Amino acid sequence: MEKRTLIYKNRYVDSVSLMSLGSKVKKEEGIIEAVVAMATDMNKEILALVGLATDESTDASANDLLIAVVAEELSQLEAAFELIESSLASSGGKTKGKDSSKVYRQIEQVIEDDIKPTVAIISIPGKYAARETKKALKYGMDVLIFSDNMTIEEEVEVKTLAAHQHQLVMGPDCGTAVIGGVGLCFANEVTRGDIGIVAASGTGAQEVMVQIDRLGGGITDVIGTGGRDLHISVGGLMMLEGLRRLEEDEQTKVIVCVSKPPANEVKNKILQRVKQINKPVVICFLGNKEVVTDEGNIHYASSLFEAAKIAVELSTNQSIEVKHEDQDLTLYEEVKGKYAVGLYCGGTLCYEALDQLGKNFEVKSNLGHGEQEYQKNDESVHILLDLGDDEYTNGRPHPMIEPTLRNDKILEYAQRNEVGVVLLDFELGYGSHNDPVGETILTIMEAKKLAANNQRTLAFVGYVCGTNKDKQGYERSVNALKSAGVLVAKSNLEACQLVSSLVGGSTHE
Amino acid sequence: MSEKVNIVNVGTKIFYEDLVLQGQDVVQVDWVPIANGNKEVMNLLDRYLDDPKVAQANQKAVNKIMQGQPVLVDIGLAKDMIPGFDSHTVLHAGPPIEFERMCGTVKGAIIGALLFEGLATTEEEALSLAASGRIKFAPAHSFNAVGPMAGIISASMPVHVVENTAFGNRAFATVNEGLGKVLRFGAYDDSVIQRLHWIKNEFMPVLKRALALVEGGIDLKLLIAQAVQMGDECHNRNKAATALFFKEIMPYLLKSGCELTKIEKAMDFIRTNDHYFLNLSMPAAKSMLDVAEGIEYSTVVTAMARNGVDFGIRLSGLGKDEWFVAKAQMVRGLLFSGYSEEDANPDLGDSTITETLGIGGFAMGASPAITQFVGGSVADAIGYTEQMREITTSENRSFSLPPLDFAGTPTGIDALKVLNKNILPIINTGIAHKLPGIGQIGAGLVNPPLDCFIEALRAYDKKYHSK
Repeated sequence: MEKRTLIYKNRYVDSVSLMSLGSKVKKEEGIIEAVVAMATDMNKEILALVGLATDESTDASANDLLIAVVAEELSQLEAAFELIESSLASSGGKTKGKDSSKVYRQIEQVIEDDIKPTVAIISIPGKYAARETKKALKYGMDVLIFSDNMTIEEEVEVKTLAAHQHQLVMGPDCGTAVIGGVGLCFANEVTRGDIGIVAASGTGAQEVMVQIDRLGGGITDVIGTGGRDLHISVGGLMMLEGLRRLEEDEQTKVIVCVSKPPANEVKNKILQRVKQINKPVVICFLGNKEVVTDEGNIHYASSLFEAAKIAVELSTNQSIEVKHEDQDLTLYEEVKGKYAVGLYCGGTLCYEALDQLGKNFEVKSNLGHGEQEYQKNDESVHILLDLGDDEYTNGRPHPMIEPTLRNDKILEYAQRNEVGVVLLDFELGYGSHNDPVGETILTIMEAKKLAANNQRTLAFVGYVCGTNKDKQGYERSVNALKSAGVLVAKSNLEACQLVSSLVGGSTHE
Repeated sequence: MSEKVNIVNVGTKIFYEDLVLQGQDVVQVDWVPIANGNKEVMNLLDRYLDDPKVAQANQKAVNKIMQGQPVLVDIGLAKDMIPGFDSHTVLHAGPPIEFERMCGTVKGAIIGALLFEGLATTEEEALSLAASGRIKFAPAHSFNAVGPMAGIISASMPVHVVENTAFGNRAFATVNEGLGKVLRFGAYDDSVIQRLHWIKNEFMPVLKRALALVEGGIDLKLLIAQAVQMGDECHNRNKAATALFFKEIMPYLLKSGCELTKIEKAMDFIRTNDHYFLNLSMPAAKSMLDVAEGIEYSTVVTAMARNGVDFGIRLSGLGKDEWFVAKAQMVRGLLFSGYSEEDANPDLGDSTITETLGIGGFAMGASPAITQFVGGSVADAIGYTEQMREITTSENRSFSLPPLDFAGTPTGIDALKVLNKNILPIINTGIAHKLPGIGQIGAGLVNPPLDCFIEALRAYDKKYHSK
């Protein structure tokens, strides 16, 4: 066994790049362990735990890059370091601007070069995000904060600041927005049209925009607010600002509003505002347990798909007939009565599945509360896991960026006798992995084989959230899944219905 | 919304790449945490970054610096020229330091100085005298003086007297001894002591008489301005400046009325030492910067200096003798053959006064020849100068740099900008052997430690926050 630890003084690389690189290196032949990280106290601890700490690494500071690799053979160790070096070299530098060779380190430098950005995307460690956000606001920009771990006090501060000047602060922890037709972070390439979306959830917004596109509608803007915006202390500041933007936007004819059910006080404030808008507004409070009825310009939707459908109907002034494509489930009689496991990359899609399946089944999920709360040893129950949750990513990139981390889970559950159905989502679009289906397909086949060896039938239900205009290709992804024997649904809602049919019971309206 | 968006992506490259894929105008910011990620420092910084009082004070400081008119007016013994200097005063480079903590190079130079002064007759005597407490050690800066490398100035050493005629203040520096075994690199053998005696007894009188003939003295600002256009940066490269000085002083040396053999030796001494002018550019810079001290609210750096153990900086808005120190760094650069990094002394000398003024490393973009000496390419050198514009208050039009379209030198280092931009001043400097008396073993680039600026900001906040 060969090991080596190197410190690169004063070489800062963002954590997402480092995590991706770390995962890439670990996949190389003969690599037993690889740590590619900034030398923060936490990372130094990890290094010590795996026995790779050196005197130099102990002295290193948070601006120093730390690389440690354990390989079976020296040549593999060398190869790993070469790979790391070349990847880091290619990620460094190239910026487009006034001077193409210039590397910017701070927002001020961009401004000093007379470049006038209108939007800033911020994906730096959360504790520094508020400061950069304030700078971007000062220079008149709308801001999308992808970073999480910003305190709620900071969130209130920056959003209050922004709201005063009618600027947007989307986030923290906001993954999806489309501004002026440009997809920021995780967004799908969809037809332009007259439906605007303001959403407190990332994949929720993606599902609505994708379904609008599929139903023949089109979108203007998608404004993300970050999941905490409707928290009582933030009070929906950006949901209100987003609504204002879409209200003023001449091209927007229909507005869709997506979030989990907010606290009453905030909900009333939002509804109050919505009522003043001279445009139809579709509201999807996902997981809402209260009975709601449409009134005035407000149209309620109970699922993401339905929100899209109503919006398109309002936009085109034509009702849409939803055709259910009958899938042949005769092969899967055996799974009836068994349990389903949903392994989700998209958090809101998982939440929607919990809402849908929870109506008829006992379901446990890491997104659930009370009776639905998932415990580590839960079995003999339907399980839905949001693998984008911190406890699963554990320092690795989000599964939408790096879907391979789900593969181990697929194999784990495939081997459980009581499991009959595995439900998987695949997000296409900007920001996401270049081929999420391709990264998973071999694992699906392997899982099926493992089950077959055990004389079990294992059904796979898949949903691809994307369009044919997305860089990964929708048709291509769907066909690959179908040829691997996966039952492919047209929406997340339909995927849930399919799962219900398979294990017994039904959520068909 | 139909307006065109222009995006700046701060952080992970993944989003940048997918925006490029969409054909968008996007600028990538490869963000780096400032101040080692210390939020307390960021908060302090945010208190003053946009404060107009600070901006005004800095503009005032930098205006005073740029108005300076350094002129070489005289040469004389330190005890005669420098106010407050007595027979037991020994000045050293950098921030204050006790004798025990000094590095080998500086200790060697002190031994040499005590031998030269006749205060000791052997190395052992010199060492015990130095440790006895009877020698008054002080930073040269405290006496408006500066010295390269060890920077030792004792009572009987001749010093150039530079007057900033715009303000009437004076600054001092010894005569550069040349390369090789010299006092500033810690050498103290007979040849070194004899040369010091020669400078005092033969060279000084000739130059003193010559300078007495120059009406209004020799305008050093003009010489620096010309030299910078001829490829010097006046810290590590003084070839052109020394030649220009030689051209200026030669007629007066000849007219001095001294013995011709002495004049000849004096002329040879200047002509054969390409670094002669370093000991003029340094006091020139010192005299220009001293007038910017004590300006309320100013965050302009008025001195950067090293003693071989610590690096220290001073700020205009804080006390005149208040230093903010941290451990001196190792110089990154090229070593002469036969030497390794283990031989090198940490960063040393007052010569960073040139960078503080905006020449030296800050003017490297106009000094292509120096890049080969310190390592790196000409493009790097131009890049350094451009980068220094980001952390300075203004540009000095008196020193204009042809390769940068005649832009002025970046002037008035703003400690707030240094911290906020996470860009440290660039210094190009010689590397001394850590053992006394071996001399220069290379040259390269170095930065002040970030902690100097952090400490300065904390002190600044302590003084000004309640105001």
